[in-house]
Amino acid sequence: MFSATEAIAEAPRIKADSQCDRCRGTGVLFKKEDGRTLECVCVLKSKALHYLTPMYEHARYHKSVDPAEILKFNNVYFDTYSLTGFKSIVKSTLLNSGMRHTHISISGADVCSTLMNWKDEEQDAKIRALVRVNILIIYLVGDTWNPRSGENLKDFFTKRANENNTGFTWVYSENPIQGDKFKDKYQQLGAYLKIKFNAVAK
Amino acid sequence: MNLPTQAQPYLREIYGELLMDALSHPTPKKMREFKNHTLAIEAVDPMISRIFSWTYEFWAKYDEFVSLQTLQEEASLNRQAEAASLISAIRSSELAPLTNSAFMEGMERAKNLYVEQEVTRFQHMLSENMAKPVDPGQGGLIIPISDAMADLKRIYNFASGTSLSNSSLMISNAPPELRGRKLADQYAQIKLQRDQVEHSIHYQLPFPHFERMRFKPGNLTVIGGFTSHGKSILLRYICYLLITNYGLNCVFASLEMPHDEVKMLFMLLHGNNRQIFPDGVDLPTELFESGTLSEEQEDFLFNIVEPDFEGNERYGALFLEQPNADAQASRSFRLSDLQARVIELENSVMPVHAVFVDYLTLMDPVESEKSRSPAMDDYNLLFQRFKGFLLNHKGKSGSKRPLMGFTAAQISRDGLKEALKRDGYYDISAFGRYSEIEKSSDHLLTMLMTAEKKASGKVQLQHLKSRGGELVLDPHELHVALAYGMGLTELNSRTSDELITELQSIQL
Repeated sequence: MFSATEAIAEAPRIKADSQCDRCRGTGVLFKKEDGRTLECVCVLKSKALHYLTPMYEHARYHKSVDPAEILKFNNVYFDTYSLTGFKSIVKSTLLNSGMRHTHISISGADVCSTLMNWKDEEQDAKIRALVRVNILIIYLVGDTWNPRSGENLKDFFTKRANENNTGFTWVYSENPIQGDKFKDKYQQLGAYLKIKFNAVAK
Repeated sequence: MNLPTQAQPYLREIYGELLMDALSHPTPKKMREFKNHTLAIEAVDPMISRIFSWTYEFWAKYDEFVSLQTLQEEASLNRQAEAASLISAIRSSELAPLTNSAFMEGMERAKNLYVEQEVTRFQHMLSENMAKPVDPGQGGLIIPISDAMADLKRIYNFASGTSLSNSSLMISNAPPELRGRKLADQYAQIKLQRDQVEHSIHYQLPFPHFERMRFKPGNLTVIGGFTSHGKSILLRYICYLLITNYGLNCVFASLEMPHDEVKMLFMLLHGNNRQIFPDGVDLPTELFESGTLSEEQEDFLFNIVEPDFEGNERYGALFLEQPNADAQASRSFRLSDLQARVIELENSVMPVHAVFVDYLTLMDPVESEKSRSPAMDDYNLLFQRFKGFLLNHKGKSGSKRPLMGFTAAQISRDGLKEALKRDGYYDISAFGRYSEIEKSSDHLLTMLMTAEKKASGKVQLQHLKSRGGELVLDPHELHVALAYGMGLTELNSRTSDELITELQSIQL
């Protein structure tokens, strides 16, 4: 369900739509008004879909979402909306920022597993990507119980905060952060993040 | 032409600026544009119009832009012509053979004769035209003696075909004729040359990241790349650009592709140029090649695009040369053949400004009739001779007028592998096979079009060498309209607001 591939707007294999009415497959548009040559909207659309990843492709796009209200960098943001609603907010934030931020969506279990298997170069590259990405979206959904999950995630949040002070971390949990179910699974993680990062919980 | 009186001073200022611009940075396009406004300029300021017309005629006649120095010399030409006949008489009769002292004596006599003649002419002119008493002492057309002397010396040098002397006696009381050229004059010439270099004519690519890269007459540009990575596309595109944007006449020698195919690509490139034909019909290469163009496309291509490319007076002319369709036979095409073709065109058809060879190593580098296999040094020599040909080219008037030269060079698979290891950055050593490419070229460019880039219609252009100019440090991606005549564009970016508005308008 979750992909740890870093999504950026400049994807290499974006092709123009050969049926596009505007560019007729050339991928470019000449603007008579100002003499500029721009990428056609069909290419832009493909880029946007590539950027969003299949995870957010079908989520609803709210044009009124203001990303500046959400993206407070070097912060951790908690959400406990419905999963569909959360994805919709993420999609709208990414698009309304003009696709300028790289993003990765990953489950809490995958973050822990990556940290615990930190042995080879491949894992090392994954950790680096998780640390340096602009927006990291962690889904604490359906994770199996592991007594070390809370500690591992605490270590990871500290590492990301130390090495990437402009990154934004967005955590989605199906359980309220202060609730017993969350505490049972992740011990003191919620309290730690609230104190350490002044995490906003909704 | 009637113009509102109050508008004239402003127009005069504008036309004055245009004239200065046309004279200080002349290009054929500017000349033609200025020419189109001759009537309007004449109405505003006849003087500007006369200066321009004279410059234009000079350019049209000799295909050279007149320099300020030439303007000054030309202004005194009439006086010199008359004095020349006097000098000629002196040389051929009493004072031959000339010695320095005899020359000085002759000059003195010529000067007197010349001044006398000028005074007579001046008197005659005034009495004839103005019917007024004449006082030669009031100046007017009378040339000061020292100026007359200088003119006569120049004429003497010209008539004798040799410079008087390059020696100079460096003591303060030496006679002027033995002192040689003043240091201040020498320096003034250096400054003039410096200014000419700074403002010399140059041509540039219309890609935002490459606009500081300048092609100048005499420059050799070599485009490198692995096979099918877009070298010929860039060669054709630059050629097309010089013809349509700058009005230059180009010779394109295609040693690799058939003549008809290259001609078709030039026409489709033109027809799909939406800056020239904003409302034109798209012309896909595939439909042309399969003979399935619609009636509308046929009409647009044959009745609008082709006549415009061949007949628009703002454009230069293209001479497309394909020595022989047979690849084996094309090896026998030599640089001397190309030179002969260019000279023939220059003398009988049109002045040539740029030569494109696609590509040089397909020529036979051995000029000798004795057959022998070409060695590596022969190819190096070929690049050297091509550069020499560009630099030493002479116009129809016999004066030096360097050409711009463009060619392509194959980069090996190893060179490509090395570049791919470095995120697509080519190193200058990729041209290592022929060392002379690196030495003789003024610009080295590379094209990189991997299968991945090709699929998305992208090609990467890199600038590796710039002699005496700015180097574009990083490679940049261009869009190539592969299916529509292969035009190249560097896309402009949308502003952040434009991008967001555009995204919000798409069904996402």
